[in-house]
This record gives sequence, C-alpha cells and structure tokens, in this order.
Amino acid sequence: MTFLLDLNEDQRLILDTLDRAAREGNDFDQRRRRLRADPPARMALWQPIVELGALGLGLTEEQGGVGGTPRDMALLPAALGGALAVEPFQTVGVTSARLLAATGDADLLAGLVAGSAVPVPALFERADVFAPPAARATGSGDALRLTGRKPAVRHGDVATAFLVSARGDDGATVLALVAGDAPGLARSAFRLIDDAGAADLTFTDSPARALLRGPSAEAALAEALDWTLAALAVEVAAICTAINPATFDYLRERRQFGQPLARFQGLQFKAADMHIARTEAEAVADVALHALELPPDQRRKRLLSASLAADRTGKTCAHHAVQLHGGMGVSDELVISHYARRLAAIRAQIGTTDLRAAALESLSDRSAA
Amino acid sequence: MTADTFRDEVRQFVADHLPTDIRDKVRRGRELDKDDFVRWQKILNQHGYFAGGWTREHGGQGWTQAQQLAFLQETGKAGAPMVMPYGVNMVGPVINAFGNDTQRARHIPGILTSDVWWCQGYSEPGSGSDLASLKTRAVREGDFYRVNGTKMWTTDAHWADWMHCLVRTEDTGKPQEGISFLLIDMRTPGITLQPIITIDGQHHTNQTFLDDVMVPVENLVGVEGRGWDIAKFLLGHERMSIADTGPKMRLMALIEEMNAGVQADTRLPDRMRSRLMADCIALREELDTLVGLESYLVRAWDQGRPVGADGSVLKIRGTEVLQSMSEIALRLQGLYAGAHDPADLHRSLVQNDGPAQIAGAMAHHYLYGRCWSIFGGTNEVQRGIIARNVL
Repeated sequence: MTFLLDLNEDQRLILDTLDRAAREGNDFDQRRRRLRADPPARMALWQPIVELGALGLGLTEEQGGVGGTPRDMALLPAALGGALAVEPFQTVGVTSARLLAATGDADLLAGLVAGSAVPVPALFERADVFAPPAARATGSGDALRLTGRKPAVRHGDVATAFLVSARGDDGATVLALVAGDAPGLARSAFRLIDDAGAADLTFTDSPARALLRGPSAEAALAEALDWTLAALAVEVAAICTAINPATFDYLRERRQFGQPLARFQGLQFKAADMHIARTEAEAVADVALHALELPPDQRRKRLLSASLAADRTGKTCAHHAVQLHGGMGVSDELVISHYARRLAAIRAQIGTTDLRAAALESLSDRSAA
Repeated sequence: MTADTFRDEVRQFVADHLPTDIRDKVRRGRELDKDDFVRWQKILNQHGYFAGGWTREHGGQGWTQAQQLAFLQETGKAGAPMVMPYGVNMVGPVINAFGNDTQRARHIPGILTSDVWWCQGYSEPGSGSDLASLKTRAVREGDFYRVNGTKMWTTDAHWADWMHCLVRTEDTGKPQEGISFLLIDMRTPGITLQPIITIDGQHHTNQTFLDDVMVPVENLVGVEGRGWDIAKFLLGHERMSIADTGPKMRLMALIEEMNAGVQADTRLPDRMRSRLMADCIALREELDTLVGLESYLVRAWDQGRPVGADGSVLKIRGTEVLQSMSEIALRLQGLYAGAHDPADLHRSLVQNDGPAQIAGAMAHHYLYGRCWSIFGGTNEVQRGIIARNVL
C-alpha cells in the first residue's frame, strides 16, 4: 500500500502502472550494466515511461497534461524514485512542467508531455540557489541573447533544450528558452553520485527566446522550485519505504553467533530508528504536498522545513541500512548502496542542506518581525 | 631518542624521500596502484623506516609504540601512502611469533622488501562479525591440505602473491577450536577471484573461491587447530594504527582550507556560512580529541595501562570522526555537492581537477567512509566488546 494519502481510483491505477513499468524496465542488474557502460545509457527508461503519460502528471488537461494537482504530480517521484530511475522524469515532469505551465505555451507543453523534447531547467549559478540570477539576457521576445554560466545542471548532459533564468537589460528576471544546440552554448558533462549526469553550461551571446519576464517569471521560478522540493520529499519517502523492508528482511535472514541478526538489541534499536525515520518521511511527503496548496508567501517556509526533514530522515534510513547490511551494504552489487547514493544526491539537488536551513532561518526571522 | 626528535626525523625523511608523483596522487585523492605502494615501502625499508614495530632480531626497527604512532601520523599528514598491513603488520608478526625457522627464512625477507605481496582470507559469506563460524575446510591428505571454501572481502587479492588464511581443520568442539592458519600461494590451481565493486565504484576487494586447492602442510603456521589464538593476536596488533589519525589530519586541513574559501565568499548567505563554520569547529574539536586520545593511550600502554577495550574505543571514534568529516567535506561543495565519478580517481595527474573532480574526491571519502564502521569488526561488534569489558 502506498504512503500517499487521499488518492482517487485513477491516481492509484496510474501509480500501479508506473510502478510496474519502472520496476520491470529498471531491473537492478540491467540498470547497473547500463550505467557502467561507456558511455552510460542514461535514457533507457525514457520512452516506455513517457508513453504511459507520466510527464503530463504535473499538468492539467488545459495545459496538455493528465493531472495538475500536487497528488497527481507526486505519483512520478513515488513510482520512479522508488525504482531508482536516473532518467530526468522529475526534472522534466515537475520542474520544467511547472515552468512551462506558467508560460501557457501549448507547443512547448505538448513537446514536453510527448517526451520528444527534454527541456531541462538551468536555474542555479552558485551555492545560493535562491539568489537572483546574474546571467544576462539582452533584447526581448524571440530575439533574446543570453550570456552567463550555469554550473552543475542536473541532466544537462541529456537535455535537448534549457529553461534558463537570467537578468534582463531592465533588471527584470527573465525565463529564457535556449536550444540544446544553440550557438555559443558550451556543455561540459560529468557524473553525479546517483549515476545521473550533469553538465556545466556556458552561454556566450546564445540566441534564446524569452518565455516569462518580471514578476511572472519570478513567481513561476518560485513555484517550480517549491514543487521540486515537494517531489523530492515524496521521493525520499518512496526510497525509505523500499530500503527499510529490505533491511529488516536481511536482519531476519542473516545469522551470526548462532542467531538471526534481528535478535541483537543494538541492531533492533537501529531498525526501530529506521522505522521512525521512514514514518516521519511519509508524513513529511504529505505535509509537503499540502504545502503546495498554500499561498506563495507561506509555501516556501513549509517546503524548506519539509526538505530538511526529508534530508534528515533519508540520511538516517540510508546510513542505518548500509550499516545493518554490513559488508553487503557497501557493495555495489546490492541495491542498498545505490539508494544511499541517490539520497546523497537529493540532499544536494536544490541547494545543500545548509543553504536551505539558512534560507528557512531568514524566512523565520522575517515572519517574526 | 625522544619521541619528538623521532617525529622531526620522520617528517624530514618524508619531505626528502616521498616521490612527488605518489604524494600528488594521495593529495589529489587519486587511487594508488600496487606499484606506488611497493615503491614507497621499498624506500621505507632501504632507509630503516619499515617494520617499525618488529624487533631488531626479526629485521625490524624496535620502535616504541609512541614512535610507531609518530611515524603513522607524520607519514599520513604528509600524504604518504599507508603501509599495506597484510604483509608487514599482519602475517609478518604472526610468522615471527608462531612460525618456524623454515617459514621465517622463506617469507620474512619478501615481506621486508615488499617483493612478495600478501592478502588476508578471513571473512566468508556466512562469517563476517562471527568469524569463528568460518566454514572453509582444509582436509589433511598426506603432505597437503585440500582446501575448499569461499573467502569474502579479500582486499587487494588481485595484487597478492600469497594469502594468509583462516581455515577449518576440525568440526568438533567449540567453533573457535579447529581453526588453523595457512599460508596459500595465490598461484596454486583452484583459486579464482571475483572482483567486488564497493559503494564508491572502485575495485578494492574480492570474493576468493578455493576449489580443491592443495596447500603443502609446511604452510601451516603454529599448531593445527590453534589458529584462533593467532586471530586474536592479530586483533591486538591492530590497535596502533586503528584510529589512523594521519590521513584524517590531512583531510581536516583540506576541509579547513575549503571552509576558508566558503567563509570568504561574501555572496553566500551569512547564516549558511555560520552553520558550516560552527560544524567545522565542532569537527576540529572531535579530531583534536581523537588525536589526543590516541597519543594518550599509546603512552599509557607504554606505561603499563591494560589495553582492555581501548582498541574498540579508538576504532569507533576514528570511524565516526571520519564519517562526520566526509559529510562536512561534501556540504562545502555547494552546487557540486552531488558530483562523483569513480573514473576520476584514475585520471592522470596532468589533467587539472575542476570543481566536479574536487567535489567527487570528497564524495569518495563520504562513500568509502561508510565502509570503515563495518570492515574489521562493525562498530556494533566493537560496542559489544566495550560493554563486555565494563559491565
């Protein structure tokens, strides 16, 4: 049974379908071979999952999607995070989908949902991911030119286009669309700790198209990041619900000193802490999804808090699961270490834990004042 | 010679003799090749800095424990490779203490010159923490033992010429009885290795299959059935190097350097910087305490303090401090905190390291750091040892 509450029949059906497709298409050994290949095959699961309509879950029917509520969106990380998909389903289906939803551009939205385009957000320039962008967007409309750097863009290696935040001539925030093969765009790809790819991007007077400008761009960026934080909280809960039972099975089956490991009280206490953390993670996912329905000025604070809880509970489950598996926990041949690596990537995906804690401190100050 | 004079000498020796290519590999977090270890150990041996804990009679240096510690700390801090323990710190002392003259004559010279490389075959798929339950069987057939079984976590077995191995020669009585200590030539027919890739994406360790491996009886060390005494002797030998503070001091210096960069970046939120500063300071305290604890215990042992569970205290704190250090090292990487490519650890030194490679080296510390609280007796087992000692 899923940890997501309040799902309707349709949502349950979609979750089951996605879950099955992800697990079948992402068999552990096959996935491991694919990602160890040179070059790694990081889009193998894309087409089969896209065909199930997965990328439309974060969008309403008017936007060309099949959902649009937080709980529709949550089906994506719940199913695909639990299956350790490295393909950019969440980045495209949540972050990019919300950005493009704000533009109302039907063609772009259709391309995203069909999976024929892989538009990847390139929003961060330094460790302070909430700082306004410094990349420069000169001109306007279809005649925009973009210059600046966007380091460590997750899925930047497989993107066909980028949704880039920048600063216009007038100082206004601009959301720009840049083709993946645009002149003046240099990409330098590298691997991430969860086996996904990333790329450092440099734009030098690259032709671009302005999608949003000013307050509407700022609102869209804020909303997209908040939805992403909620999606990550759901993913953490999905991973905890996968690693905990696997760890408890191991404790029951593995015998040392003439008895199952599950009989040792020190290990029992660690297992209990994992269960507490997982239960918290499930609740935090729910809190995060509710928070998306709050007005923008209240939303961020709740989501930052939820993201810190997701970091903490995910780390507890990951570290205990590895430790309780002993040598097998630190082997690449068992899925546990792969989940632990994904959880480490999540802690760094939208700023580090310290940055988000600092951002929450600042917001708390402001509301107290 | 006082320990401080000796420490100065070691520091000078490393500065003069550590090959720069090896030092740079260590400092830049690259994986070392077997040849790097061998080269360094030969240099140590040529200059009288090898087998420090062995008596002079056995070809060692006869250092006090305080000197051994000073050597470990100074070489580690300076970016020297660790001395691989399987020969000089494990099987060597065993052969010296339990072996016969023929075994000493045959094996000790190769250990001292590092021309013969060793691995250990102790753990098995079903016997990790509970080592005494091991099942690899050695059946006496004339002048040979026929050995069958599987060894796990045989680190660097793919580099090894010989393996020292715990096997079961008898099934009756307590599990600790009936264990014997064999030396096995890795070229013997019937040995196959299967690499085990660890969480950091590297090949350090292996599963070793032994199928009808014929081992000459003269390769039994000590008395048949008394191998457990040797295993316990080895455990006692590990306590000197168990906290491994030299490399930790080097990593901490690197963390403090990276933190200084973060603190100087005024574009970062003040609150983020102050969180990192506070945690770096807390970690500095923990590492200073660990270094102090290690030095204190070594001096206390030299002055007659019973060792008791001190080794477990050092192991637990050492691994916990390392894990905390590796986590903060990652937190200092900002946007690159998710970067990690196992292949980067094998990059040529000619290639410059960008932020993704620097962050990836820290991610390697984080991932491999999870192994330390497991290998060589989990921290849960160590806490059990402490509890049995004090309760």
